[in-house]
Amino acid sequence: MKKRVFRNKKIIFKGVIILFLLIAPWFNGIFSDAPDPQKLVQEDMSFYEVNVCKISLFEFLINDPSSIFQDHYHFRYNNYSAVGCFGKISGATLLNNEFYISIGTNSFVNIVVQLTIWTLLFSLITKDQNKLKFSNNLNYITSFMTAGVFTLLIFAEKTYYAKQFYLFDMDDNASYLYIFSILFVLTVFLSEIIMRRISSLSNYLPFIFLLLGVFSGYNISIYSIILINFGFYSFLNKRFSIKLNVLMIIFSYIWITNTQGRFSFDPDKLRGFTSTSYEFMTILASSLFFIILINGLICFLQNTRGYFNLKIFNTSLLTTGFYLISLGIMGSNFPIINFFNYYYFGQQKYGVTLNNPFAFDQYGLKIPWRGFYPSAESIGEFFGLVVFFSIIYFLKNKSKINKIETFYLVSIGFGLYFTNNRSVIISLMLIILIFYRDKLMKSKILIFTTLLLSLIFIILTIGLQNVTYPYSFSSGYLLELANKYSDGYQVSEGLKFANQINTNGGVGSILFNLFSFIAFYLNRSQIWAYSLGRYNPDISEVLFGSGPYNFAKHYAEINLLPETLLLPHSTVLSYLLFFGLIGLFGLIFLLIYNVSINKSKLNYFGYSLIIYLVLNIIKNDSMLYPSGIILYTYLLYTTFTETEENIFKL
Amino acid sequence: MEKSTVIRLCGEYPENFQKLEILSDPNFVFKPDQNYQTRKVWDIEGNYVFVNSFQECEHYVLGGWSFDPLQQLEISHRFTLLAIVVVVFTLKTFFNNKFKI
Repeated sequence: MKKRVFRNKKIIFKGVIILFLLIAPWFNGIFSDAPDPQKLVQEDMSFYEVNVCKISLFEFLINDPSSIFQDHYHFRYNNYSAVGCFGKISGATLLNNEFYISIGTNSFVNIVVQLTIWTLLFSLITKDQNKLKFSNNLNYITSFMTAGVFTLLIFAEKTYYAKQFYLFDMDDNASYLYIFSILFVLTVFLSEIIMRRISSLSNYLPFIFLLLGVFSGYNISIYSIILINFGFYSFLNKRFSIKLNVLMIIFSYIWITNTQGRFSFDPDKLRGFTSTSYEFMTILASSLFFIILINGLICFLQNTRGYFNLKIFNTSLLTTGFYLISLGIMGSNFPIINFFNYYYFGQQKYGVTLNNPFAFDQYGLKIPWRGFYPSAESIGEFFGLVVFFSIIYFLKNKSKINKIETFYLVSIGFGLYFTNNRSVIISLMLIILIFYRDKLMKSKILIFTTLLLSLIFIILTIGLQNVTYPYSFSSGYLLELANKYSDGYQVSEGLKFANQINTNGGVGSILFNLFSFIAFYLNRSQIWAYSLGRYNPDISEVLFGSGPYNFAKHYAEINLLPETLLLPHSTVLSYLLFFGLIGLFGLIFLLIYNVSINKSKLNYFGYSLIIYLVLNIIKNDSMLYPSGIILYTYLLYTTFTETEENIFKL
Repeated sequence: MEKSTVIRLCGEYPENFQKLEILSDPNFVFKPDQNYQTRKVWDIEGNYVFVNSFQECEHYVLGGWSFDPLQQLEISHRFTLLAIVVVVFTLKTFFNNKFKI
């Protein structure tokens, strides 16, 4: 009883701190002798040009409440602002009859506020009984090393951070001591909380699609900090694979020695898990980061073994899915919520401002609505996973679905429709149809009706006009586009090679045409043509790639017409770029090997999940986001390691 | 004084910039540059002067008028932030056994 009261008190105390950190920053300066705020009017914007960093966000909102809900207001962070300017209006401008209000959000304050809130949120998860060898001294050592790695990353990407850190001398090595100190202290707190919850945390993993955890003004995610910390933990406890580390060191050595030239990259929605430049120092730092991160991920996965709880996991999925849609809709309707979503959930990119998720474009095509998440397609996959696990959960427990769960599921169904991820809808439909095949096979009429309806649905989804094209067109379309996008002066090695095998004919040509044909029906011709047009490796990069999660060289080396920064929309193509053919085939082999040794464990749903994940990995960028990497890896690992009774057996 | 400080306070060095021997000429008068935006430079005691050319600005900055009150304020705020974090950390460590998070 006494223990419970103490625990409740602790929860209340944490809640008060979180609430304080949520509200207080935006009241900064309300007691100062600043002039009275003025409403924004199109004719005269001078007030906020003159009174920079004098009016707090709170005062602004009170003075002009319409800015909270009118969609021609846009609140934007300004990380390059003074500490004293935090939470104040640092500027306002009019662009295409819309107001853009800049809010001072100093990068150093950001990391303290955001990391503290998120750490406290993690601390609300019940501690687990996992017997990890963990002590305060060990915590200090791992945190010290973790802070060192992130300081090195910031140093390596100083061009990016020079635009994020206000009046900060990036060339003075002593400056980095400041960043290191902040990171070290905050990591000690974070690490202490996470280490005591490492196993229980796994059932709440779906929440990483909600709490995206990227610090405003940084190319760092809270999940990277956690995994790097685990990585050092595994090294210090000698719980790591020597073979794997030797392999990664060989790859890193090749990446580092092969680095030529300097290229920069705007991370945009990949912020938090990609390099912003390609040069010797970045490749060196990111290779080190990658090696420790992989060790950390393995350490985390190993510690989750046996802790999978379908009930909690499914509830986490449903709750996350529902809040993703709710916050997306609220954010698209209320500019201020859009801003707070970005800040407090650590989004890489602002939520959409299109407030009609049912909207169609001028050609009658559904506009994909990503809502809260940076990618419509990836969040569509997530909604598909929610539906998939809900099916298993309700079939397994033979339980009736309650009202809240029904409400959540219906909302998620709408969410899936909003994202317009047709391949997920088809995949789910096929999974259900194949599962009920025995019942369907009983009646010929039922078989016929099901097949007919499925066929009509698939044709409508792919597009009726696309079905009518001959194979010769669809199989050559990708190469045709890639040649069209090339500016003629710079032709990538990848494109030259594709043209050559197409001219030579033979098996290579047949395989490439098949690849192009699949791309056509996956609606990937254009995007993969861009990737092919840019893919310009030397022999070493063909075999080993150009470096982990580094797109800088890929996007800056070859110019295409029209210039675009469209991502490859295929984790396979991205990994070919990062890890080369050897790395890619190594991963494919690892997957096949795990399937083969665990085949006795895998039932229909186990295989369905693997196929669902692999299909989406092939045709989407999900594995470029920390949320995608962690959840997908965890699901694959759990599918292979959990007992069938615990997860998929009905 | 470092060149980077001059660039930070006065702007980039103009093309074909020639440094004049100002100290050896007691009657030297700085000519205002029409293309140069007037800047304010401070000394450590908080006194300030307005400079009207890059030549004049560089001269003052190299002579010790390189105190940037904005940067000093920022640095003091930054250290306050660090101090808060460290104090909380120390308190937490001190009371670690009583209050486990």
